[in-house]
Amino acid sequence: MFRTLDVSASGLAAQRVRIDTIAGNIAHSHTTQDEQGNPSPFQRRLVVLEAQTDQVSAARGVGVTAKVEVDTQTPPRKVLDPGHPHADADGYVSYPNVNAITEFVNAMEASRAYEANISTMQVTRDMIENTFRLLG
Amino acid sequence: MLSGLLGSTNTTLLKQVARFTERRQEVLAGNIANIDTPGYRLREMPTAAFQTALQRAVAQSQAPHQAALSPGLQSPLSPGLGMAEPPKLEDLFPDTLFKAVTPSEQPGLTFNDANNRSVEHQFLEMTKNSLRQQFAIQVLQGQYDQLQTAISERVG
Repeated sequence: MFRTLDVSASGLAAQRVRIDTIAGNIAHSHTTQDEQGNPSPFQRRLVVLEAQTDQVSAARGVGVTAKVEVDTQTPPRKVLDPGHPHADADGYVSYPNVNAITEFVNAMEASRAYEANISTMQVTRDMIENTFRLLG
Repeated sequence: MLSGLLGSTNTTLLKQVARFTERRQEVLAGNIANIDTPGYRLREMPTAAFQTALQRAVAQSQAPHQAALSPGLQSPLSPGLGMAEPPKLEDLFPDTLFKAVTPSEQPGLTFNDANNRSVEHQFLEMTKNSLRQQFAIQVLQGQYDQLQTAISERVG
């Protein structure tokens, strides 16, 4: 029964990673230089969710793991701004490949999924309390 | 004597129901945890098989089982508290009933990421499952209370 809480907790952790990643993407939506100070647009991070397929979960409830990856596929957003210190030879500045709408939709989805895991934990908690009542 | 009382028919069945519902809750929690996992397919417990096993066990426990008792052991207790072959009832619930499966045929929509999530359905099942567990535990509690009353030879 306590493993059920672990399964829900893995869901909570995974959704929390998503929210953190989205927050980072939005914070960096206009970052045009890297840590070394070289002109290089920030690349958006995305979270890859995977079901935990191990020996135990093969016949039981499956938890989830989250991995953060870098989106190198989506091209940067080019904006004509010749006065910008990071503008290229043609006067275009490469802004990060972050789309605010996509990020907000993902944030909403992650937040709802987080709530769903919380509700599940509440139900599990009630069931465990029922069982404990048998003890007296 | 006490093991006969504690292992009476109803107790065995209720224990199995509680065990099954608790394991099922884990599987449903796994479905919710993987609500955004691409390629994840909903998992379920073999509920139909469990119901069948339960029905068979109930039918077996209601059948006259006086023959099972040796003549010298004619129990003055009510039939529900008789020593009705407890090991046989346990055998009706093999471990395969408590293993989660991924049903090959599943109703509902499969999304673009090959996940067939359905929050409403999962929470509905979770609520029903939780109520079943509560029922089993409360009846079990009632039986233990009765036993307590019998042991202390007084009510309350």
